[in-house]
Amino acid sequence: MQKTTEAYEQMQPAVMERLRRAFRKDRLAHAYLFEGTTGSGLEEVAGFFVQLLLCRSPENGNPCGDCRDCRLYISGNHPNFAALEPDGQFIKIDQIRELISRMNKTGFSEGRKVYLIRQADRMNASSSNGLLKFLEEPETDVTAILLTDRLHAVMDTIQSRCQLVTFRELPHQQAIEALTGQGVTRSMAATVSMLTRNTEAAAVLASDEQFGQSRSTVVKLVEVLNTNVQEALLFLQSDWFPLFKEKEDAERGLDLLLFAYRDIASVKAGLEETLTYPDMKETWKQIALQRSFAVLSDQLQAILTAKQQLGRNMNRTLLMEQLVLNLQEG
Amino acid sequence: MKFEIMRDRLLDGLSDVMKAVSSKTAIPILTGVKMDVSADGISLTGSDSDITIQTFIPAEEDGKEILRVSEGGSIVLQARVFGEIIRKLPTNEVEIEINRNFQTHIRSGKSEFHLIGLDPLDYPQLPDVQEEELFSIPADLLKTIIRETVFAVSTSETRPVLTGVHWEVKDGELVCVATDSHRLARRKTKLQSLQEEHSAVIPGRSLNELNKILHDSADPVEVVMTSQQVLFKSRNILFFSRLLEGNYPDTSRLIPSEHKTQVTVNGRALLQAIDRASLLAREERNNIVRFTTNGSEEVEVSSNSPEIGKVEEQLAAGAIEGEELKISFSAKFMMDALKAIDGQDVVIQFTGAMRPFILRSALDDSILQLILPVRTY
Repeated sequence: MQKTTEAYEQMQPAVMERLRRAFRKDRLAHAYLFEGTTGSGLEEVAGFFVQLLLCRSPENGNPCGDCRDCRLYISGNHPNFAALEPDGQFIKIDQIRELISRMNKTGFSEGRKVYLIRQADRMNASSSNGLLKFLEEPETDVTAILLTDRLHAVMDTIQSRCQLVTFRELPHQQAIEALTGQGVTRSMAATVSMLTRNTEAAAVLASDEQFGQSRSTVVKLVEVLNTNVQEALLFLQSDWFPLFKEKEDAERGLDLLLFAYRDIASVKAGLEETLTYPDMKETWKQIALQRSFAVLSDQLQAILTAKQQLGRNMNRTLLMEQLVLNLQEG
Repeated sequence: MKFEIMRDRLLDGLSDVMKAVSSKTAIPILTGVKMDVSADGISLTGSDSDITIQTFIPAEEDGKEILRVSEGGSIVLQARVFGEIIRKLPTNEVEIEINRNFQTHIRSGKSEFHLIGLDPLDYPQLPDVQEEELFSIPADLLKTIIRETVFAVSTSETRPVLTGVHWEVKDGELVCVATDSHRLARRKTKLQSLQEEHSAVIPGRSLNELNKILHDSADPVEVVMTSQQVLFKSRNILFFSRLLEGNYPDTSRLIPSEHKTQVTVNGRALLQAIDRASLLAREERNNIVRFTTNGSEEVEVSSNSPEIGKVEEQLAAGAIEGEELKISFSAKFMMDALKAIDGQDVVIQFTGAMRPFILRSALDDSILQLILPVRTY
């Protein structure tokens, strides 16, 4: 799906402005590191930027879209552009070597050469070190663009040689708007957009039947917990465990539970704008009335601890039962 | 676009350009060959982005009609499939017609193929070449120059610029230098027609490919150097290669100007002796042989590997002047150098056991080989 420049500008106004200004004033860095989550338009803006760099007659910080270079880039045949992505688990040293030897030859046609490395955090140590020297001192007019969604996993020495461009996350409210535009109900949109800001992934999640069931099970658990702990333990056996079988499911269940308690705390604090479960607002209000902030804080802590223990492969049945008891006592 | 062509001539042209087409390329359109058809003839282009080969099939050759063009135009066709189709067509007359949307029909006898073509506008544009900036060399000489230098290029990518051969045109002379920082090969050639100075680093792989394509004849090959590419032009074939970026190190200072020991010896005999000595050295990783002067008429080539055994061989030398010498070096480097000098009498000049030494032909000094010795205790 080819989006327009305006769409990028709406998504990442600061980034777009910065890149364009650098381009117009001819003060481009030799390497950029684009950092942001998958839904933040990383790939799209990088594509736009590459096209801008290659375009023969850019107008006002926009590629013309019409010249030979633009057309070659769009059809994926531009000889002065190379893209790299992980081959399996990692970006391997041979890929880096091949890239460097390609970039070290004079361009097929005149002008700037550009390379793009997707998921730059997946370079292993030898690949990163192999790239370093070239990244630092390219022979001529070469621009590097590295993309990552896990900045901390990119080697420090690579980071320090690039200009860091941070992509902000799509605001919660904007993500909800985008999803409701696609026919997702408002309450569902609020929930899924907490889990992922990537509009497409969120839309898939919203239409997933199992996810809908998970959501209602979590809400029910909170309600049951509020009335009777014995019933909550029964509920775990009858509804919770059959639904959240795998480890990933269990983790998601705990996430959803955490968001529910966060909602309760927000309601108590009078912040009703950004609820994960806006349809449950009245129920949350009632629960909030019965709890102090200290108690809520303990309960949130209990859920976070449970999440940690899940990561350590604790028996999931015992883990959930302990959590339910903790939430009750608190 | 529509034309008829003789199959065998088209096949010849295709087999030339197919040498440049690689199946694994990062740019999808380069898996194809480009055909440009005009009333004068067809030009075929194949490329793997490093090298590009273009060949021209004229409409008429030796008074025979090869090509009949009804309508000119351009198309890019999948090289592998297209080549196979043309090879297996039943008759020698081929009719090719391209409709809108690059639908290609190939007819010959009673068989008809439909191929889906690609947009020729997506094909990278070859650089414009100014005709003036060129010099010409006979093809066989060019092949010799390549053979004598290209083996010495570096195979490691740590210094990419060393994977190429440095071609420098200066003072009416072409100087080609290749080095991998352990040895160096230099070849000088006088040029008839040249005024300007040029310098380029041509990737070793490109030169190897060029060597395969050129025929062993005295036909002139025109060489044009531009900032982006170098072009070799023989009769109907154009060979483009991209260049390596970066400054080639200054190698003139590496070559010692004086010497302490000079040995003149038959190249072929020495080559065979080293080859024999390396039989025992080969097991060890660095393949080292020892070279000792023995009085003033004899040299000794020896090798010793404790686990296998040892070899010694005496060789009559034409002349030995200067100090006594014991030196060790890589047998492979020495053999490569001797092969490049090609069997003539060889003059070897040493400046001590720890300093690089040079080899040149006793007959002319257009070719020079430099090797770094190996330290042994």
